[in-house]
Amino acid sequence: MYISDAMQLEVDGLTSGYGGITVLEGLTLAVAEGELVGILGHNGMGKTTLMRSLIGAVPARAGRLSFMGTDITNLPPHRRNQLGIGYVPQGREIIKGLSVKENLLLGQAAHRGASEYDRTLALFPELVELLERPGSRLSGGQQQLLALARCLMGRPRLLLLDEPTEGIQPSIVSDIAQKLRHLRSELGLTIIVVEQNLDFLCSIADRSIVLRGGRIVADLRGAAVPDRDEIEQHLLINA
Amino acid sequence: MYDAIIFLYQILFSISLFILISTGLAVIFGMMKVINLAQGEFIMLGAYFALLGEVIGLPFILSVVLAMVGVGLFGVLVERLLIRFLYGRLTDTLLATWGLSLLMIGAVTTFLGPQVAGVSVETGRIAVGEVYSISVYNLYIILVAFAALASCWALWRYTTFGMIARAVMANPGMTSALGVDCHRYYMLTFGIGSAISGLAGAMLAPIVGTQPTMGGLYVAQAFVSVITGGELPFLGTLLAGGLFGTTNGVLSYAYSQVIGEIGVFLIAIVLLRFLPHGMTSQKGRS
Repeated sequence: MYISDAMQLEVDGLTSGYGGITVLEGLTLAVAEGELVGILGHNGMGKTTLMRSLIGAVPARAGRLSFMGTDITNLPPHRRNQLGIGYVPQGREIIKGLSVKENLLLGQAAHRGASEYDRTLALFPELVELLERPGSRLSGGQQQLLALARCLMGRPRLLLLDEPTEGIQPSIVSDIAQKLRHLRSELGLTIIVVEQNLDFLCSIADRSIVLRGGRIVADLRGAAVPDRDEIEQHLLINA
Repeated sequence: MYDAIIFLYQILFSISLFILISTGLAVIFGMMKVINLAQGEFIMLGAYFALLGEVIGLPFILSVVLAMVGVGLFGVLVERLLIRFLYGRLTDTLLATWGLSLLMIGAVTTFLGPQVAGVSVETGRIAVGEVYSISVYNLYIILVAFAALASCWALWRYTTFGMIARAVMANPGMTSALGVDCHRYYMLTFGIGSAISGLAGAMLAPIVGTQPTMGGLYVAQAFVSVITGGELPFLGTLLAGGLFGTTNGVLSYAYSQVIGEIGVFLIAIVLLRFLPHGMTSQKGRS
């Protein structure tokens, strides 16, 4: 695999897991600035654990993580977020008891600089009418948009998205795909997205990684990526 | 006519005492879910700070500030040295804070003695009709109790600090992934809850005096109020304080203070039998 100093995110020999269970075993991955990487794999293959390890919710047991040249291996999640890693978890995790507006403001509360509020709402006009509602009362699709908007409030350079289309109606899925393409082309964000929805992934990713048993077993770039058949083949082989 | 005024005043005063005693715990147990059995001793410490203020010649109002700052900082220290290792560990928290409570009683008894000491404030009385009069100081207590509860509520509801603190308490994992250092908010919230208990202790000192064991009287009342109050700590404390204060006030007026306290606990038991999640429970609502 090609690794250079120009890489925004470098994962070197990452081993992590929960309690007595090791999920990721010596995973190595490098992502360049502006890439949109899809992560595929069957359940239990370590996709979510990888995302949680990148934001720091699961500590690394071995290996090294660096982000924009900074060693983040031992940094807690809030420090990683302040460095520019944004995280939209599986299940969205909209904060209960906070309104939509408060959930948004929370995304920037620990960050310095001018407010991103107006710019974020301009990007997510769907949220404007919902601002005073309790965040936890929104539909799944609305919550997903809110979680994405909340994450962008912190001006991330790298966006980690865990199953953004899970349980969401098709119209909002295509809406999310369009927003991700926009974020990438307009803001130059690097995006790593875990996804089960192959159509969705093929429509946005320019690189796809297949995880199996806590390791990367396929890394498809460029022309290979939109080829749904080849990805399916990899998933089948790994089943 | 004057009977009615006195009766209403007594009930309002009784409600205020419940609120004053419970608001610190509403922050620490209601918001943070930390069962702090030493909360009564935080009140005791506040009373001793008021005594200290009197000894060094501070005006009473500055003694109250001293108690808030002193007990608040003490709370921050306790959170850093003890509580932060115990989040999510219920039994350990119970044991550790009970130990802290005994330690604080022991330390104060050893260094300052077991006797009751008084704190005096000259505020005068207001005549109600020809027979009755009301202590102005008690009116201050009513004011301070409601102001403390309202300030806490406003802090949590309307400030950025409060919004972040609510998020930290509801979902620390996600909140830290948004860049918030949750430990800082735990520490500050615990400090605020402690400071409010310090305020309560200082305000109570002129009425009840200071004694190392005085906290035991209050910790039970505070827990009964906050638990009966339920999920919304500040509204819950207001409702529970209202209910228990009225019960206590009426029964104390009609019979005796002991009957009043028994009445409070009986009502709490019955209430929690039918509303196990408290008066402001949101469980089961859509």
